[in-house]
Amino acid sequence: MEQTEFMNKWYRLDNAAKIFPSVTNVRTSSVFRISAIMTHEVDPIALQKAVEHIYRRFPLFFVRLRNGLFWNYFDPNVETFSVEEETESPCDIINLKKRNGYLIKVLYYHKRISIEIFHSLTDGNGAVEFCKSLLYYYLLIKGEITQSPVTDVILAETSVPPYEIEDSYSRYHSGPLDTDPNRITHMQSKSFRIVGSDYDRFGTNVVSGIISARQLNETAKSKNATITTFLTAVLIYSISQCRAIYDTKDVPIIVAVPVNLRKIFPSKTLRNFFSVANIGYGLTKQASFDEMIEICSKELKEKTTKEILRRDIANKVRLERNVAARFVPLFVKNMLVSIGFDLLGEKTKTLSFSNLGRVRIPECMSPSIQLLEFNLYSTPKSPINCSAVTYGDNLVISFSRTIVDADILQYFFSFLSEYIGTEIKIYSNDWGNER
Amino acid sequence: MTRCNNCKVLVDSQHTHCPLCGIKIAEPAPGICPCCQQKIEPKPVSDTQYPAYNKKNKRKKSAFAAKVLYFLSIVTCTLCIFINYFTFKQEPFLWSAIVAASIGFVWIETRTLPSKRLKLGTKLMIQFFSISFLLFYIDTTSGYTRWSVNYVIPFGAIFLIFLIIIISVSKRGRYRDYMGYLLSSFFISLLPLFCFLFSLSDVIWPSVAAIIFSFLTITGLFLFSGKTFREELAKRFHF
Repeated sequence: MEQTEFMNKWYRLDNAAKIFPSVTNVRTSSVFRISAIMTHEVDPIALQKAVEHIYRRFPLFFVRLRNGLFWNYFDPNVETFSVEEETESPCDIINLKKRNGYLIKVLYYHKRISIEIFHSLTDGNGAVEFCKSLLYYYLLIKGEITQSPVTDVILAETSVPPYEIEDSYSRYHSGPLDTDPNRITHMQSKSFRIVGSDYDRFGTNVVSGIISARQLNETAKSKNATITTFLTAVLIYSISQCRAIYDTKDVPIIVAVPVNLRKIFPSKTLRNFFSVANIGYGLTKQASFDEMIEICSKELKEKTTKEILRRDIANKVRLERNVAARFVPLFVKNMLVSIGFDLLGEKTKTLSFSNLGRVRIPECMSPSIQLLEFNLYSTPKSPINCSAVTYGDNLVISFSRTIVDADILQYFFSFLSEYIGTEIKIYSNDWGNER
Repeated sequence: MTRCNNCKVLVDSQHTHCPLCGIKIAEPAPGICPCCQQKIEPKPVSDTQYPAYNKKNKRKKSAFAAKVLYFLSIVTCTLCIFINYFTFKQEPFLWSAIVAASIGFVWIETRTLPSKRLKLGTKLMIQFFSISFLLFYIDTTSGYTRWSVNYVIPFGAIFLIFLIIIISVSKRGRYRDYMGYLLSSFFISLLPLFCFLFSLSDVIWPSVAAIIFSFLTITGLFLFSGKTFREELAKRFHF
């Protein structure tokens, strides 16, 4: 892309991206993170070179967020982008002034390379593609791999195909709206809320557990469930055993599970293309663990059918294209979206659980990468969130929390370890527990 | 790896306490050997270790100073209202309201002017609105002779547009950024006319002068950088 063409190009925000600028603040950073633990100490110079190499290939990742009269938009950012040594807790709000307006951070510390991305730019799957390309060129510059034909990695030498920067919500929104009264009631109902004491200083504590993906998959399969369903059930069971059974309110524990729509629709976009399935409405806090797996499995299957998801997209796009919504000034929209997010998004879920699934990395790169990690941001209404990613046989489950109380995490890992009959290796950033 | 029997998990060697239950699982490595007093090499950093975070709260000092000023402002306002109330019979004038509005104005100034987050254009806009509001308030509480809406606000709008033109010309690299401010100031220049239409002001020529100045600025933009200007319009209005 020529310099002038690159400068003049601007992008509308996709349907999901529009929400995040309105709801972002210090306590809701809307920033998620993907990290790779390498086998060698990270070389910052090579990492900087790798970023500069792929900069033009991922035009939507290096942009500046601007305010229009009615909507936000992305403008190309031609300021200097620098990789940084990690100093802040994971998923911290992005200081735009300090980072020349960039909505992405590339961090390094010891053997860890991390990418922290503002959610308006992309979702977990888009970020994985970016991460893979970055790691590929980093290893190439370091001389740890040689240039050879690879699949599964976006190469910087190729041009940007239009399908990678398309707004897939707009492409797949046609059809009838979702009018199921059950789902509409669910969208408005309250869920169980995890409460706890804040840390003295605001920040995200991350606790990660490494578990054998093969063993977890075998256990899940023996219960006719997927890994996502199984872990969702463990989460609900842990919250139920630690908190809900002692609570007098009869509200369900709801886990919001992001669904990658690229698996259902033939999209290859690198922008946001996900939906959220809220799981747990059919459960009571007295249910046994086996019942929980069964119901979670049933609910997840029901809520991720192509027709249901297409209707969900149709609902969202219809709302965005509503004449009234189009001509409401941006500052009014920001206020309304913030209230709507609180009432329809935050109050209806107990926590989020996002499973990126298995990340496939070219064989030539595998000897240099030990582990992958995936972290979500927390919000005041869901101060604990959970995420998972699999690389090789290592499935890393990470909890991000902004509260001191670790009872749910402790129960989760202890129960999982006992149930599967395997060891789980735990490590943390020790935020708030510095001794 | 150390095992935490309480949580039934393995804990990475970087931790002396279990991250889940907080129980001590290992002794911290001593810097000096207790037997031979020789310096012990520190343990190698674990592969999954995170950095040690800066424990200092940078904002603490400025936050305390702000709290002191905030408290002093409340004390001043309360005293003024108290004195004004008990001397109202001798001097029937609500001067305490002007003091309170002025303190509010100073607060906006101290919050916005040193801010590194706000752009110069945004700061100018905030200045224009806060000064206009303060002067309009002083005007209304001191007899409403309309000097604020008749002259100060229209000429303030002209001055604002003039300043933005100067900045956008001097910062050629950020020309596109300031186009948005010029567009916004066009709408601001319509404000004095609305004041006249709603009978808030009674002298029309300063309002018309503000609109003409703004109109000429926009026309100039079209003539001298038509393509860039049209692109900026397309971005900001999404057409």
